[in-house]
Amino acid sequence: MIFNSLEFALFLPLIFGLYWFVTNRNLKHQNALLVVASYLFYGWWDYRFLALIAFSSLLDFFIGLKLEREESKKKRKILLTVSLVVNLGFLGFFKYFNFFAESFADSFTFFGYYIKPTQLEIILPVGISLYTFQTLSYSIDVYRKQLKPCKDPFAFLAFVSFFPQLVAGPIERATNLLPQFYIKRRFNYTKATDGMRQILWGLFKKIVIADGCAEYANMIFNSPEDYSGSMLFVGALFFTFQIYGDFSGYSDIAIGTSRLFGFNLKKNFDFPYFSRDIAEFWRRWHISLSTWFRDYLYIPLGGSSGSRLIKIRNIFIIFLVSGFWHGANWTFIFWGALNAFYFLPLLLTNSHRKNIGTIGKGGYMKSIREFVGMISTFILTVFGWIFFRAKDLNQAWYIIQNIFTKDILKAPKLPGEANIVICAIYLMLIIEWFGRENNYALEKFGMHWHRSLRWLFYILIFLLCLILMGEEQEFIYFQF
Amino acid sequence: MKKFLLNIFAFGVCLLIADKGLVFLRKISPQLEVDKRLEMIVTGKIQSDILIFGSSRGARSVIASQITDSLGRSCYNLSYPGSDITFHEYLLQATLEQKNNKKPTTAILVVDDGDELKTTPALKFRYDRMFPLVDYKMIRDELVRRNKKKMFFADILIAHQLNRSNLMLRKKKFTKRDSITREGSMLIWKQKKTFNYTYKSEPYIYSKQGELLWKLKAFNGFVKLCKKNNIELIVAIPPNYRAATDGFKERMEEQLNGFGTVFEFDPTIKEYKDDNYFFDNSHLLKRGAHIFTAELSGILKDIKKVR
Repeated sequence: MIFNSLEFALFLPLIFGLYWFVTNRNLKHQNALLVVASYLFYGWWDYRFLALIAFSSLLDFFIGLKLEREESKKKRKILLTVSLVVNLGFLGFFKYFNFFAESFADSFTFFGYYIKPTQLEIILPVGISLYTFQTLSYSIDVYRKQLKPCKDPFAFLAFVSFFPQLVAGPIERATNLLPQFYIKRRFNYTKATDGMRQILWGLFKKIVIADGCAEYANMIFNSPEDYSGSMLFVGALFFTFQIYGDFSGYSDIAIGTSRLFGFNLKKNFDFPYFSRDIAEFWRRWHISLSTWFRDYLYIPLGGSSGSRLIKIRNIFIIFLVSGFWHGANWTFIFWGALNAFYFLPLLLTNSHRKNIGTIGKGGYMKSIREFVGMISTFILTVFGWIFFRAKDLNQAWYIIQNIFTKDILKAPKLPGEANIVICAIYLMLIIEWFGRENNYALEKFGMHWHRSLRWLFYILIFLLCLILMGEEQEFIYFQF
Repeated sequence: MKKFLLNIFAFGVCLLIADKGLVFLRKISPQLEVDKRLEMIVTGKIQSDILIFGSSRGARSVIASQITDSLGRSCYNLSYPGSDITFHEYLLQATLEQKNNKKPTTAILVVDDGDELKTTPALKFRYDRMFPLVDYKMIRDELVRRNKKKMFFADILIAHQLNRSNLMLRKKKFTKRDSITREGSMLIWKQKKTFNYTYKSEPYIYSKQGELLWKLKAFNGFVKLCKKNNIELIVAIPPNYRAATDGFKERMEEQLNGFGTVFEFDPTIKEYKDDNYFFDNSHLLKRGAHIFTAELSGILKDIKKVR
């Protein structure tokens, strides 16, 4: 089931009603309903993989209990290793088996030998990378004694499978989300209306921006040889907004939906396209994944302490792993490496934490330099996304080579209807700019207006979503 | 909770009221269109004996008025550049469904030599021609049937019946290349600047490999509609600026299974090897279309005589 589907439009009010009117008196019932709803939500896509998620959840639940009782360091390590091996084993098998088989065979071809790779017809379970990381964070935190193990199986199952964020994040930490399942939720009007507003903004970003941009990005990326340099650049721009609208839109809907049920999820996007350098961009893009890698990989590796060489090594490891996490393709690995190269000068000059606060906090931009920084960071990310979107490295090179020709000066020839999408992008950027100091753009936007005017604005956004809603387009991050 | 539910309800009511205001977008969109052929189908204004279906090759290579003059039977061209067989099947089906249209006696399906049943990224179902006409229920139902709109939402909300194209409030214009004659043909006078003048005389060999099941299904659906409605079917293969694909005509005949006629251009006609008769490698200029239409008219006359 996807958020922008009719099924979800019926599913959400039904579960909302049951949750607040039937199970509201008992915490266990609330959690049990969330488990059932989440498994229904996930099983709607493919019920066969419910066993996989249930197995991962129960394994980590019992390992957590065992870890609490076990004092021996060695045995504790073994328990953690079991959790890591099983969870990462599933992830590796479903997501990376064919990639490794193919790359292994390719490496032999390089030396003049031909090996036919063993390829399996593997279906990638939706969101496996996300829930695996979520459940792993639990095992690691319990192992590190940063979290007490969960003793309520329903609460734990609900934590791993919580439907708003199950298939595309945000990747919640056990320390933040799990305790919320221990307390009975009470309906909160402000929280619920705020959730609705965030859902509306997420739908706008997904349906109007992402799906609108996807049409032109696909058109150009599917046959780049048919387009001039300027059109290829426009295609990359469309994809830049597509992926942002798609993923941050999903996160907004997930966070908003959680608020309807009384939960607070962590912010996943913090207006990343207004970043002044790449380091700031990575603090604002897919925050839940970046912080996961920071806490469970980068810091254990030594982080930014140690010799210059160690720092460089750590940065490359984290970006390459992050690229590989996104998909079993060399394009993602190259995308990760490219971002490491972008990041490196900042790290080596110790200026990677220069831009911490919001750009132009409390007013306008402070200097032209900030503006230049923002634009150049944006352009660097656009070029990064070319690798992310291209079907292979050759296509990415082709696109980049052809952008840097005199054709870039030619006016791009887009169908007239693309202007509607471009106007929508401007509207999104304006609203996001004014709301950049909030949790999400629409949080306080228009709050000082008269209620009727504010509602009119919401209705316009909603109508735009309905007009532009066509075939259900899956979210890009489902494949991760 | 009560306050929340009341607010949701009030918001829903306001949304429904605002939504009804969008009816003007639905009404105005058909008026902004210049190509009225699909609207003629849904309003029952197709009154011709012979109908031509196809992509740009059908639109550019067959002069409907010439057939009318030659045979004394009315002919209309319903070929859409960039459309594939699924769209042609839909057009015939819609023509027959709308009872005010005259049922054609003959359908000419102009096919793409070698590519008709294969992947052709430039050819698709022309939803963009349908979206401006959502004021017609017949079009709305088809969009729902084809999963472009959700039935539940489309029934209660005008906004969901609309599309991006309905927000373009400028009157559309024909380009020089795309003007339409009174009988629906879209003829071209001037050659394309990037035309590749090398004539390939070595024919391609047709292979069934790469044929798409859904295209085959649509093709068979088109044939079935003709059979069911007693419509004479001519599958016409116009020339490219290269030798005809070897075995493609036979493949079309195999697919027709004894029903209808497959007509291929006469490769001995020297004009078909002369670049002056071509717009580009796969489309004829008007002077080339004139020759191909004359051939086609001849076949139609022969068929009538045999009958």
